[in-house]
Amino acid sequence: MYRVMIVDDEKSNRSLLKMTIEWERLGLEFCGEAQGSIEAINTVDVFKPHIMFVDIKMPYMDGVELSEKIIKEHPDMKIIVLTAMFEFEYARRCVGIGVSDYLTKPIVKEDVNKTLERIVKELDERQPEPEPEDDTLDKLTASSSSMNRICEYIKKNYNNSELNLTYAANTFNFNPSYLSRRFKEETGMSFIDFLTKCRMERALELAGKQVQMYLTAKEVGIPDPNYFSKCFKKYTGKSYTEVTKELHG
Amino acid sequence: MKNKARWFNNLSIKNKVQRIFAVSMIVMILLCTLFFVSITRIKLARTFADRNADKVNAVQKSYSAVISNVNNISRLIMVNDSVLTYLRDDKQKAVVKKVSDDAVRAELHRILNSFSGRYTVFILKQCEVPENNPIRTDSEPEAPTKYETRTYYVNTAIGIMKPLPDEIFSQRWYGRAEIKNGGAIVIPDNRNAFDNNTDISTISFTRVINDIDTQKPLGLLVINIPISELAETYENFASDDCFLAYCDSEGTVISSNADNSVIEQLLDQYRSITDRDSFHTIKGDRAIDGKRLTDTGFYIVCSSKISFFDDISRELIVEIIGMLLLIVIMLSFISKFINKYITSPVTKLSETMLLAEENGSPVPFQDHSERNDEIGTLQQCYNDMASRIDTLLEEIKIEEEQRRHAERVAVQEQMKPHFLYNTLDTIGCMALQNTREEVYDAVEALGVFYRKFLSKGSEAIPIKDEITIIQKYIKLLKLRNDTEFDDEYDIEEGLENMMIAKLILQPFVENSIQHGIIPKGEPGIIRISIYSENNRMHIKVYDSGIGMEQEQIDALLNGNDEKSFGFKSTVNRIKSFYKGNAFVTINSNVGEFCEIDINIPYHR
Repeated sequence: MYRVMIVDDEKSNRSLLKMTIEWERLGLEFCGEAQGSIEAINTVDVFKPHIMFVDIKMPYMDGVELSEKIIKEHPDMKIIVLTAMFEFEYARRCVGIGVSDYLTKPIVKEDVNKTLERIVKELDERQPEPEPEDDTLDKLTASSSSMNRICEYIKKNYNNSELNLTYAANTFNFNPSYLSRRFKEETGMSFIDFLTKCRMERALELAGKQVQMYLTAKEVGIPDPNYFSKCFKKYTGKSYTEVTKELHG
Repeated sequence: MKNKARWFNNLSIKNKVQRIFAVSMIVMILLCTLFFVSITRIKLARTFADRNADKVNAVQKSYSAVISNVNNISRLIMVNDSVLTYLRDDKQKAVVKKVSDDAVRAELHRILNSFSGRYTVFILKQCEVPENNPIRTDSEPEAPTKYETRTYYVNTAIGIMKPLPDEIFSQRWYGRAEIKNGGAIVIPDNRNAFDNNTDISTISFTRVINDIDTQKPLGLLVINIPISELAETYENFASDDCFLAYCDSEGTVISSNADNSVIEQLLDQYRSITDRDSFHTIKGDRAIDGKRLTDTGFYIVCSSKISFFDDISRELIVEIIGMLLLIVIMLSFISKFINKYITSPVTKLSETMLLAEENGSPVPFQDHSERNDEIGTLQQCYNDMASRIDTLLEEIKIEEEQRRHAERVAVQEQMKPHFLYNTLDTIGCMALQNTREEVYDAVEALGVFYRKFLSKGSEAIPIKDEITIIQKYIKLLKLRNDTEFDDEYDIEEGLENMMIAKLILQPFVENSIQHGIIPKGEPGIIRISIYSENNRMHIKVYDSGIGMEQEQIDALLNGNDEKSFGFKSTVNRIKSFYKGNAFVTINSNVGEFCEIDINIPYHR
């Protein structure tokens, strides 16, 4: 069973793709979606997909940039780029940076499934990666002190929109999944929740200063205000505007 | 003639020049030759005339020398005692003979010997002698009884020549000499006066011998000058081509170096020679001169042939040929020069220009010689022009390319394929989700949008239709986007049917949503307001998005990048539709709003 993630700024496109893919026949599983590149960066470590659909034309960070980053952090990820006909040049560039395939919009059901079929075959043929041995990693020692160091690092660098689990793991030379587990063990929170918490605390501060949402979003490292607003609502239970008004009053 | 002119015009410049040079060369040579010949002819004629006159004068001089020689002889004879005695003897009736004939002859020989020339001298006297008593010249005379006139003479003869007294003492001869009163006359024709047994013809110099004391005539002196003496006077001047002759006033030739008949024919032809003291004419190739000898009435006639080529010196001919050669060489040199410096470059230039037709673009002229003259300027100009044309062609190509690109982008802009595909995907998605009403609404909105959007290709559209397009566009957009926003319309009453440029609102609305409202992430407002003011119409697109900095506004209005392309092309479309009488301004507060104001002329 391979996991599939869809990144597209248009809800209807994501829905259509979900409806088009023959999940069961291909042995695929939908693991999650993102409304934009920023959300994808923040959630990719949570969803851990094998296959990712990426729309080229997205605000804040386009599909090419996202693909580059993802491939750098997850070299085995199969990325399928979605593009309109006249963005063909973009698509060609994507193939150059290691994207598996591209599909032109409007999406044709047959093409989508054929492409996925081929990619599933490729994934099947690949030597299964040996799961990192936890014991050996234990010996490598990820002490609580190093976890503290990571926490400090997050508190300092939360405004970096590219920061996520893999990014941090690479920075501190950890295996991402090991870091994920150890982090939760040490702090009682997942990496992404800790990061979001840091960001939201700062956002609340800014809301108190009546800073407009889109500026706050940029300031805390979530330059996509839609995703920011989603995160904010999830964290505080209220919308940013409501909080601003409350704090102002 | 016209054909000739056309033929000449059709020739290449090179051929023209060559032909002109050939013709002028021939004409020049002919003219030179003609000029030279006529000049030489005139000059030659003059030379010949002068030469003739010189000859005649020289002959006259020689003749005078001969005559004066003879004259001197005659004078010596006249004063010679023996001669006088001899003549006086007879006056005394020849009774006493004091001097013998031989003595006189000896005296004469003595005198003649001191002169050159083969003259025959006769001393004649007439005496009264008794009849029937013939007296021989060398015998003692007897006492006369009856007198008769007898002629006695002594002579120094060459050959046998016997004077005939009747003729000599006739009026024609003696009479003429007597009138001269001791002076000399020359008588050319003495055939009647002498019984000549020799073939030596002579002319006679004669004078009356007077007594020194009494001045009475004593006798007659005749000196016969052989014609050969006369011939000697002109011999040196005569030649085959130059006839010299003595003739008398009757036109009878006395002596000449040619056949007498030829000279006589000539004299016949020119009768006036013997009518005048001097005569000169040039007739055909002969120069004829005549001169009267005043003391005798002789004429010297000179007729020389003007031989053209014989008389032109070889050097002159060489010079002429040299000059002609020089002309030919110079003309060919000039022709070469013109060919090298004018016609060839012009030909090359025109050939290069013709190449442009084959090539489709001008070919630069390759010339290795640096020239600063007019031809050089021409070549330079042509090259400059060629490169300029090349540049222009290149520019046109680029412009064409850009225009095509712009058109392509414009068509895409119009068709909005991105929008269409995304909307179709959305509708497809809705259909799969089984929301039939919504699907119907969406399809209807899409249909209306594209029907109005394309609006039969016309350029202008009523405001209400433009608003409908925006409404449907926003409706379709809302189906797709998570961001919430409201759209409001504030149209001044009575303006709904006003015609405006088509599709000027949609790009601005799209811009406001994409770059204004969505990035803000909060529910926003899009407001379209249309109103008239001071004879202008304002169409405003307001959005409550993130707004723009002044630099961003400037970049959008004046920038050249892809991002502002759609915006700018719409502004240009508006300006071109209203022929420049339209303005688009942007008013914005960062983080609060952005308002685009389209200011166009208002005509009710």
